[in-house]
Amino acid sequence: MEILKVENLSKSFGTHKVIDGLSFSVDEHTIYGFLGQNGSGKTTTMKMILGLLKADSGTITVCGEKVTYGETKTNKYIGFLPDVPEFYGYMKPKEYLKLCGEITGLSKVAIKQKSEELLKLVGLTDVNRRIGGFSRGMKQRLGIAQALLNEPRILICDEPTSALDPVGRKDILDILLSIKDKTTVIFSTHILTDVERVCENIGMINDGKLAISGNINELKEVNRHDIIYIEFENENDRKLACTCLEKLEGIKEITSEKNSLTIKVNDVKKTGKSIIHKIDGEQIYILKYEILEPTLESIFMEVVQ
Amino acid sequence: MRGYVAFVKKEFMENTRTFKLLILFAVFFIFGMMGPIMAKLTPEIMKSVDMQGMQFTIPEPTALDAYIQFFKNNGFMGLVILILIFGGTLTKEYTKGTLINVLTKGLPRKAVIFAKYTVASILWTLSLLISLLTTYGYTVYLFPNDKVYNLIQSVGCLWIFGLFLLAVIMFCSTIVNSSSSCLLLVTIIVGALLIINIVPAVQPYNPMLLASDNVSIMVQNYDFSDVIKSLSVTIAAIVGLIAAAVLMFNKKKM
Repeated sequence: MEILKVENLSKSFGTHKVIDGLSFSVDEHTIYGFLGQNGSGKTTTMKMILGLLKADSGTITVCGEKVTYGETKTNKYIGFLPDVPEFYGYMKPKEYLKLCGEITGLSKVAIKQKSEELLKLVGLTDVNRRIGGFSRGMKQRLGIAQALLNEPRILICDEPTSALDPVGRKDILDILLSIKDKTTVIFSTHILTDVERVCENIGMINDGKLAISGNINELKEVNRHDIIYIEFENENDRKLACTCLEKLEGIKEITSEKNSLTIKVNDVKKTGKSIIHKIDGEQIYILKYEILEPTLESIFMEVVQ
Repeated sequence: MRGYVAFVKKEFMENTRTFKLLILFAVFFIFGMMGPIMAKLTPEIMKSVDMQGMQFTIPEPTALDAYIQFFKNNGFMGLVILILIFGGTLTKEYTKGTLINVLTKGLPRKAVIFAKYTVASILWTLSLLISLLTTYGYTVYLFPNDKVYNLIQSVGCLWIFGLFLLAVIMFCSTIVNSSSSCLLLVTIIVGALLIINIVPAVQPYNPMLLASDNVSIMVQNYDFSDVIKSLSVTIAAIVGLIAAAVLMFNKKKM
């Protein structure tokens, strides 16, 4: 089921058109990676979904209800984690969750129970000091806790891992994975390894439009090129191999680096065999032979360029 | 309603924990104390200064002098402090981004305005009350035989003017994005009110009257007709400003 649907969304700031006819949809119980360069309009799109910014045109539907600017009824379905969540520094984590709980209309018992459960989930159970002294990572965790307080059907995270160290990033990603069964997660980022770790579906935004979207594995399959990567012991071997391969049939393009060759071929299996045969015949030692898989990075680069 | 109540609680906690409440109460207590004491001591101080043979006759201080001091302190410095303390109450939340979380939790935007205005008004009321009671206590003690007239009405005017200023702050905060520009805008509005006060025909309708005529109100048989005109305009302005603030805030980009 489509839990979020964005159709033909446009938004300009002055003369600068940030979002230009963006359309995409997100299925329930998936982790959706929303990718794009810095300044590509990810945050703007999210703020429009939350009704914090007014869209110039287009519609956004959350759980079947249309989002209207300013009056944010659809926000009851959504938990939002801003890129740098800001809290009232004079409050303690529990007090902050209590405020959020009261705003959403949870009962006292529910607030207490939910707060403890969520603080445990994000690892802040024993932290009983004011938020003012929290590190970025701790704020990010508390941000997740507050976003999940009203058991939202969608959790929208704006670059939740961009500013964190590797440990903090892993923790946040683990939390996102652990809530997947209950909540659909939409998360924007430009850190591609994070996306590969947790997301099933992605959408990549470029020039205000959706450049590509779909299942990560399928995207990789579609964008597969037959590329062979060979690494040699030294530069000399590489040069030798390069000359002997030049006339080989089935090779489209050879790119040389210091000790390695990246070879685009027509057919990995057939040409690959003859490449190995040829190099072996020249008595050149191969350090590494690899058939390159397309990475999200290569797809991203292709889109951006 | 529940969002409003929750946010009112949050505002009280904020003002307590960031010491704003303490500063307000302390300052207004000191202002309250200073009035009667200064009134009592001024002649003594003047006496002790060597006038090099010049003769001054200083009239015996009265309770009214204590209240003149009270309105001098609270009617000017007190209001300035009120503006400084609450000038950033809303703008600070935009600049820091603290409203994003609570608004996306479903807090209606108008609840933010109403809650902030309620709490600021309550704190202003309590501060003025502290100041008044302190002045009243000292005055009764130091000038036991003097009688003052229309004290409640006069302080009431200053109170309404404070509420008006807070409404101006709320409205300005929804137009601009930073505390400093909000303070500037409030200053411009108050300045404009002072300037139009030059025109005699405007004076009875100007909210400024409520903060400037406090001492002259405190006479027997004072004619309140001008004050009532100014009060009506001011109360209408408060309602209008808050309504406008809500409308503007609903359209605000976050």
